[in-house]
Amino acid sequence: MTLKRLSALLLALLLTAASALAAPKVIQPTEDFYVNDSANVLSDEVEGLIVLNNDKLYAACGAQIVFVTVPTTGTASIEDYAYTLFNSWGIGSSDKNNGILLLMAIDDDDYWLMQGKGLQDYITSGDLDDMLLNDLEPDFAAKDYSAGAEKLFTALFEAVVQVYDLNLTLDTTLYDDYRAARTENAYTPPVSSSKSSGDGGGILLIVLIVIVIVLISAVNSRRRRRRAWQGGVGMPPPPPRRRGPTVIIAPRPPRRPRPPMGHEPPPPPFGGFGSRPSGFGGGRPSGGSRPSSFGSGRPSGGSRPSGGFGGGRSGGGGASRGGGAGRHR
Amino acid sequence: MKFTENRPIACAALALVVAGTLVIGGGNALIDQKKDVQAAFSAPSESISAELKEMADNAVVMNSIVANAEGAESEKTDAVSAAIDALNRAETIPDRYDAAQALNAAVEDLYSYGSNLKLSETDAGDFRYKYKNFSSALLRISHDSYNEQAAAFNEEKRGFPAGLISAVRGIGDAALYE
Repeated sequence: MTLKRLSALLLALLLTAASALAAPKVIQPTEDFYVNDSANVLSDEVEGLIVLNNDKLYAACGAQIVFVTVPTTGTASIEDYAYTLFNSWGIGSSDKNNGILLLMAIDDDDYWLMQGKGLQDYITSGDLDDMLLNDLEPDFAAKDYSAGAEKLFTALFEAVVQVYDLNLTLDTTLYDDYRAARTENAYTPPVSSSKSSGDGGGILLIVLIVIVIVLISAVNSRRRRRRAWQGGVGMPPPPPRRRGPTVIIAPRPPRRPRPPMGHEPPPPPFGGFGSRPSGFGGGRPSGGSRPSSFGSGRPSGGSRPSGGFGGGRSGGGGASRGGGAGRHR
Repeated sequence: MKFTENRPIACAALALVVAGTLVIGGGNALIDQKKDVQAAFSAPSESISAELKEMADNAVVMNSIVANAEGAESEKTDAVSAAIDALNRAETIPDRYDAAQALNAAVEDLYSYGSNLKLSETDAGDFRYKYKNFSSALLRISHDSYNEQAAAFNEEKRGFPAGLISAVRGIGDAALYE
């Protein structure tokens, strides 16, 4: 029985692990959140432009324009990678879903630009494609990634300002402030957060749960065997009695006679404090709802936690349905 | 012995009532759940149905641009028109999937053909713009969670006593978009 249960649990564990591994593993956000230049192709000035103007945009309307560079997306398609990254970081605010992500895979010579579902109807994939062709592609093809990123960010910033009719202009005077702040605060490398894609952590938790369940079932089966030693059918015979003085167990006292009909004793006081062994009275403990065979409805997407990374900036919990535009070949 | 004092009959009656409640109540719950899953497919926005409409709308414009272009042949545009009609006429979810695949193939063909035509700068821009919106809708469909929801419903329906109740009430599986 224990072996059967263990096999079923191990199978469940394998299936869960397999499903967790289906989405590509993506890099984590930095403390700055709005730019992760892991391929190291963007200048400090452009990073400063992106971060500090995003702060203004987020404060005004919750929108976030995130730029990420990676050497490669590995075996995942660039669109799949971008889709997973967008939703795991929660780009844009959770109520407006107004994030935008540019992902550049430098060694793959490719890029993808996608918008949150709240911007889909206002900044369409066709609009994104036009911006990529006009503002990023010429510099990207020339491998001047910083210049292309700067032009594209400017175009995206202005597009979002237009959508929300904001009174904001792109501020280019903050590079020095950003550089000074980075030098003063001795910028620390990115810290992995609890909002990670969490594949490793999730699987470890499942393994721990499996181990606990197996141990509990092993302990319970030992207890059941011990109870069965008291003369159960089919169980091994109890050990032979030791020789010793014969102990006479006193007979049970006779049962109290039942009171006559119509003269039932009064019920115990409500709650039964002190009158029942459990002490808290009143019926069986409620065990919560039973698992239903009729299902519990659609899994809800829910809003993502917007927790920070040790005080740094973070995603607003926005989501994308995918799509977007990529590099023309 | 009075009828009401006959324990076996009382137990049988109770069992019938319980079984009837399970079949009726449980069956209604399953039917409602299936409707919810189907509603996820057909919702007016953020659904596969909405994206299919987006695809068809963009394909119509692309077709119109090529049809009005100088020297364009009708073969490609006719194929796209036929595919759009088939998508609009498709009633079941698997039929809509097949029709969408056919439309995608026809539009890809049209895009390759139209990109080599002598279109005006505005028309060329619009043509590419609509193609990008068309392709994007297809990508969003690929990420939609409808199939997962339908598969989860079908899996729960096979459990006990849902499997028995759905067999008695004739509740079928939720169709997958594939």
